[in-house]
Amino acid sequence: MSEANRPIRHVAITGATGGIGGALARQFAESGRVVSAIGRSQKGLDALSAAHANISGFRADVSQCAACASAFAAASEANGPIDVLIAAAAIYPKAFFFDQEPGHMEDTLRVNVVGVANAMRCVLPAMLERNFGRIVVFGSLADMNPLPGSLAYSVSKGALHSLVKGVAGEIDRDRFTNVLVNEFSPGATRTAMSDGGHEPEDIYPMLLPLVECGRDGPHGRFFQEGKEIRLGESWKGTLKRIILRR
Amino acid sequence: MADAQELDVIVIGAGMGGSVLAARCGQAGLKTLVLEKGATPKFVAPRKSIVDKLLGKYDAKGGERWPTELLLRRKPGGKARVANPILGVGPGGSARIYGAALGRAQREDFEEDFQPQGWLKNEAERALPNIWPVTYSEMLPFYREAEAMLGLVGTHDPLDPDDDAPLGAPPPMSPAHHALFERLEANGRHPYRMRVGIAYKPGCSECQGITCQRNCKAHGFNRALLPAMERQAPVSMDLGVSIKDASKGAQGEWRVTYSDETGDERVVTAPKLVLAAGALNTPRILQAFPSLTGGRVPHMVGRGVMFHAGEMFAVNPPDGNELYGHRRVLAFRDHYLDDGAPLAECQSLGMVAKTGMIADYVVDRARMAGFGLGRLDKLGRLAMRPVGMVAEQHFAGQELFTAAVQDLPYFESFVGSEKDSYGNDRIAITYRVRKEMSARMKRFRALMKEAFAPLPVTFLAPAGEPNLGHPMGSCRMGSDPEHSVVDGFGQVWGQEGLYIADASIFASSLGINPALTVAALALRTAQRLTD
Repeated sequence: MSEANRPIRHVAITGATGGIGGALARQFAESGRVVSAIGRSQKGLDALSAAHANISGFRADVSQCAACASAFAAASEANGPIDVLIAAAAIYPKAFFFDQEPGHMEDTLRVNVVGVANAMRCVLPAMLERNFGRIVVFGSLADMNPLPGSLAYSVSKGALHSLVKGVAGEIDRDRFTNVLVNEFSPGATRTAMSDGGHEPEDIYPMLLPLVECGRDGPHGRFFQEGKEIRLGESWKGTLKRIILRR
Repeated sequence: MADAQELDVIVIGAGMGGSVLAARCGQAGLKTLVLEKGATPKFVAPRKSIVDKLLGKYDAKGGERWPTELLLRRKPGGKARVANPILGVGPGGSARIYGAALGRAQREDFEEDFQPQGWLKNEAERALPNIWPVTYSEMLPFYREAEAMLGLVGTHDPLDPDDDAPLGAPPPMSPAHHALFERLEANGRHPYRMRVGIAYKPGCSECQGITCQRNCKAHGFNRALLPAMERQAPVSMDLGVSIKDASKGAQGEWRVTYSDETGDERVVTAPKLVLAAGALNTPRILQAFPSLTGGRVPHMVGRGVMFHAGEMFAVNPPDGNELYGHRRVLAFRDHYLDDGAPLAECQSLGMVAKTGMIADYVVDRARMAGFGLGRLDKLGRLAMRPVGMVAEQHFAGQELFTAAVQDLPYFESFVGSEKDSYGNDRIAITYRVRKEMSARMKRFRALMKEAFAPLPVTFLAPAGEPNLGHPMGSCRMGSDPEHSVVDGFGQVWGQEGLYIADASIFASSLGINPALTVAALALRTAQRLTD
């Protein structure tokens, strides 16, 4: 069933100036892929482009629809069709619900949810046309047990589960067999968002299977640190899956 | 009862013909009312639990199809079989569920009289005369207008010097489609990009057999009637309509009594009445209300109904070429006619063979052959799923093709109404597949094998199987009332202001899907009405 995979050439990463995004950009570049790094900080993008010849930076705030679209258009203009989208842009402002400033929730949802939707809408039409693409959305289980003071982030990550599952479900799998969209949670990682956990460089090998899998790979599913977690599956669903060997 | 509302034009049916004609009449300032049987479209996710399926509560077609089964007979008085109607109801009509194949017919379709003796020497039976009272050249401006209106994509037919259709660029093809294209060219055929009315939004599924929910698939309602209503043209539509009476008034005006979605009864009158209920229902309206035609139903009403022979086959593309993406992509007309015998355009079917579809197909075949389970048909569908699953595996990677092979009109072929044992009014059809059709199908299959050789071709439908989704010619257009119901503009012989604007008026069946020709004829009749 699994035919020879198409080679992955061009990887686009949003949130590339963040801790994980930056590490992934360097690691994909070192593995020989062309990387389009998309982020808000010009300084961060310059540092990435300087770090490896395969990386080129495109400055955009993904939460702004038009800016996001022109950044992706420029990226595919410069580096060819996008094979992989890593949607890693997110913000994690900490504030108790009662202390939130006006706009706090809105900004978080705009970057963490609308930003991901914008990025997906930019790359999907071309992926469908070529019948090739992998999208990995950075998710989290923060929605299940929101920590005090992290409410906006938790709400936004909860929304991503349905965004990913919904987009995956709207792709016609009879016609577009080789475009896969999944959600990936790295677990706690030592970045600007967190003081402990994995090193940012540890994420690449955990995420790689979602990028390198063939057309029979997972679609519309959630993975944490390389293991699948079936969110919201009822006992009837589990039973059906086991019986039907899905 | 309220006073009758006075209008300029009453149109019965909001399918391709009715929608297009009503839009044009409205835009010309005529006060137009469209009466549509279907109710307001709703998009409800079907319930899919196994229990619901077994109880028959699961209705995949969710009110977008004709609600009762057809009764089919081979000859008058013969044993009736039941068949699924492939007819859409609601705004857009059958085009809501069609595959948006919008090719033109050819010059010969209009200008030649096809008789079985042309290819079957000893055949005694003659078809009804089938030259159109309209020439192809007269049709051309209306074809162009319909093509522009429906936003066609595709490329021109290299074999047709008259083909000047306004066309948008079709979406890219997969490597397997390119390989099939090259194979056909290497075999001396002239493939081109199939002509479809699909906007091809990203991720388009080509929605064949179901309503498109993205306003991507073009039909008369979303491309003509709705825009006209939005531009405040004096055209309106009533849904959920059931016609109670239709007659000619004392001053020669047309009077229609109907009930609408709310159950209220209304009366409308107009100097022009246009029947556009489709080729299976328009003749039944004329039969039900003889006062429309002076108290006597014209003898040709319902006579000469034609169905294309729905050919379907799978072709294995050359190895090593990935097959994906849009499927309604290629067509060729090298065998539209063969040595004087009318055949068809061959085109991509546009569907991927799936378990459910195959299971449905097997059960429908069994029912038509007389092995129905009645109310337990749903069980049959479930039981046939394993067969479908095997077939799906078998056909994965194969491309499906189809052709609407021309049918001929025979006096004995008839559409009428019949009460079933539950007292429901059913569409009753008398129709049989003639020897001359089988002879042409045999020829067509040989030609298709030749066209794709050496690629393996598997034929999937019984030869000559009528495509019940393509009824035509049940109120024929002709040059005299002896052999036809309407004149060259769709006006019923001898009835000033009574028109028909749907596939009922086709004089021959064309070797191509009927929709574009229905739209073009409706535009032509609309021009007559608005002059």
